[in-house]
Amino acid sequence: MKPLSVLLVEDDAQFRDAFARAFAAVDDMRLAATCANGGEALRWLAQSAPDVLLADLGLPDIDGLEVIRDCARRHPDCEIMVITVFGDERHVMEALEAGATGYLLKDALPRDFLEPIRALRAGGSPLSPVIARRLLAKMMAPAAAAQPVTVVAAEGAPMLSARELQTLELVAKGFDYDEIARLHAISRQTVLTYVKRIFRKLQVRSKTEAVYEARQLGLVRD
Amino acid sequence: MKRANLASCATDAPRGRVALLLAAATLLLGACSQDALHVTQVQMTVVRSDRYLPEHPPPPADAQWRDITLPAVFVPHRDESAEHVYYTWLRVRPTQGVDRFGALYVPRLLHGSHPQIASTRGWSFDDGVHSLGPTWNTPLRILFLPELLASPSHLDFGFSRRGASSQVISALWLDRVDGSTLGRYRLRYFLQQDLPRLISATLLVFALFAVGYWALRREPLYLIAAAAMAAWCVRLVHYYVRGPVEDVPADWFWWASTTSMLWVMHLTYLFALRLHELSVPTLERGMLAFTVAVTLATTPLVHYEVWRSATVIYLAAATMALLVTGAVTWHFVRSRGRAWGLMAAALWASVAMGVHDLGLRSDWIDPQSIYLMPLSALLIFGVFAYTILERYAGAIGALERSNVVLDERVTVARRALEESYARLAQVQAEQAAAAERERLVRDMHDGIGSALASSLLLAEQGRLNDKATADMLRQCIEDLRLTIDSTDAAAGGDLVTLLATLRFRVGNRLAAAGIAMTWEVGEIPPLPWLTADAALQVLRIVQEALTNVIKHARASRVRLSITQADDVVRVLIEDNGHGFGATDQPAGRGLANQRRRAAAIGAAVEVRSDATGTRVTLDLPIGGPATAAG
Repeated sequence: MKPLSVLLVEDDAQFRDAFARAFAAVDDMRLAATCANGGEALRWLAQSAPDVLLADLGLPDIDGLEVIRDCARRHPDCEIMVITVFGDERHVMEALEAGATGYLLKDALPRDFLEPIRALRAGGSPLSPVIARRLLAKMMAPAAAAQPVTVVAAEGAPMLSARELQTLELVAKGFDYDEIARLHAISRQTVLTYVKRIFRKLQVRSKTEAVYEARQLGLVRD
Repeated sequence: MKRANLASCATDAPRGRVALLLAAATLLLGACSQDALHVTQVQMTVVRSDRYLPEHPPPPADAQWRDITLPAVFVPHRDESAEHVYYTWLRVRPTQGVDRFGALYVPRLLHGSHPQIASTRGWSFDDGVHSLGPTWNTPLRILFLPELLASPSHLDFGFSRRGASSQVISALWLDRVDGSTLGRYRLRYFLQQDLPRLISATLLVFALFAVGYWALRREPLYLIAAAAMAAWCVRLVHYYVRGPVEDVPADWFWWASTTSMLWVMHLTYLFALRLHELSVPTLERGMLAFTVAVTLATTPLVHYEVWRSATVIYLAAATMALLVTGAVTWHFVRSRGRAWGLMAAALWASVAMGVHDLGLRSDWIDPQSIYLMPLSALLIFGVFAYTILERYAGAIGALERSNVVLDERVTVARRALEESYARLAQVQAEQAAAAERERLVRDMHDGIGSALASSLLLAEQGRLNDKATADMLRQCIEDLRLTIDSTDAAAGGDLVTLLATLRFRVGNRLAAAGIAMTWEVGEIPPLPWLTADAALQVLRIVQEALTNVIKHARASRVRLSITQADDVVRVLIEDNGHGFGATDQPAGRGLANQRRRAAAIGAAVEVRSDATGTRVTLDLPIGGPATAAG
């Protein structure tokens, strides 16, 4: 099988080295390119399509979210993972909305970051309970709050299925994917599919909202 | 026999005063017609008759005529009897225009009825059908055929009276049928008859309005106004209603129309007092006693003959009028109030008018003059209406002003409220910032700070190897992550997500240590008191328990359950390890830390450990630290 090509966008040289060594040690993945800043990454992405993008958010020139957005737009099939120190709610949510489908904790390096990449490629990314709760709140927003913006945005935004909602609820309560699979009497792979779909829907929804908000601003300016 | 002097082209109101008051009348009449003859010099004779006749025979040829000057007052001879009827004839001898004249205009004829015109060539009489008014206050204009005057160029004007009563007649006018006296007659008729009727109607409507208002609002002021207006109406009736002829009803009619003046004055004063929310009990009682006494004493039933004297009633009315006018003037002088001033002015004008009318009635003033008291009614009514209107407008104005004041007060209050909110928000923000600083400092001290300090000590002693360094740094990162999680997960008091996050973080390490986790969560109510600060304490307690399981327990399973029991949420961490003894130093110190942390948030930690495992119970009160005291 052809190894996965990985694009790494990371401004810290030591981390770049650690990643490079780790990828060199496995044969199912290869580092296609390493970019130390966002501009470089955008140029590279304009030319080639990686299977996996690993992007740090704190880049010296532009916001890492820009790189994620650009990649998600150009290469919808590309798996995007954001690299974060704490995996905190704000950063992860922003990355997910920009198009990421998973995240790597920096302190997982260099030991076991390859496994999550494989898992992501195979179907799903780990989802923390806080993020799950946040996703629930966001995707359920039209029902919860009758804000005109949200309602209108919801028209063009995909809704979660009952199973996807249940999955999010269980994740928010601390159950892992295996437990959820047992509770629903489905396979772990199906759970991962649900999670992936949730990410996709969030992304679409975020785009719809962005378009809607832009139109709103335009209208206001008129 | 002397011929009557014939003056031509005089004004209708030679005494001036009336002319001024009736400026409008003069304008309406326009310039004096060259055709009308003002007759002041006439001859007179009186014929006695036994009964009233609609038509008297012309004066006998042998009648004794004597010259008189008009206006004239005929005082009865003391031998006259009320049983007889006396017919007065006035002979007019115009020197010019005799072939043109066809109308005789008599502005006023007091106590004269059945007027007629006669000459040797025929007669004409006023049948009174066209007038509903009393003869004393209704002008006369008798038409006749010009032939009557053509020859022998004199005209006899006759009218009857009851014996023993006096008679007054103004000057006469001869004119063509369609001459200028027609307009003057019509105007006079309007002023003497129609105007009092109109004023009465106006007053009655106003009185009805006032009664209606009183019925709704129960303000005595309006009832007094209504009563005053009603009294005025009673007073005005005799100006335009031909009273009953029979003695007894005529007496009652006369009684009502004269005594009503007292009531008018009395009620007017009461109105003025109440309008200003004043009360003068003694004076009011005295006035009421006086008014009632005079009214009762002058009824035709009581001492009929004594009180019959008009002078007595008019004197009483004048006294009352002067008293009221004086009192109102005194109020005005004292208070300078506009309503008092208007009322005083109207009353003084009324007094002047009353004096004029008294003069007219007592023959001090030319009988051509017009009675003015109806105008006085209009004047006083005007003041009533004005003051009530002003009072009403004032009340509305006050309401509007009070609304404005209210608005302003609301605005001020809202502004104050906004300011206090802003201050409160600022204070809260400052408090929050202070609490956050304190929390951070404490967290750093407890977590990273102590780890770094102990690592530094080891490093300086050269005892810090690579693995120890990595462990220390990892511990620092995890501690920071724990801090961040405590802020993220605790939102909404969601204990389950908070602990779920912890599981998510340590899951890998448990798995790496070969420990399987059983995760059991039920429906847990939100804990509103679970702030980031409290959440961090909970996280540290549970993390400590889990860390102990990983590091010391040598367990293969750990069970974490979150359940609600009564008013606490119980977090249970149970492993199947070998437990730890009381001498186990690190565990003992960890337990003390856990207890300290639990106490800080009103929770309780209990640790039971034996050879089959360790069981840590954390009880969190649902109501928060405040309810945990018991």
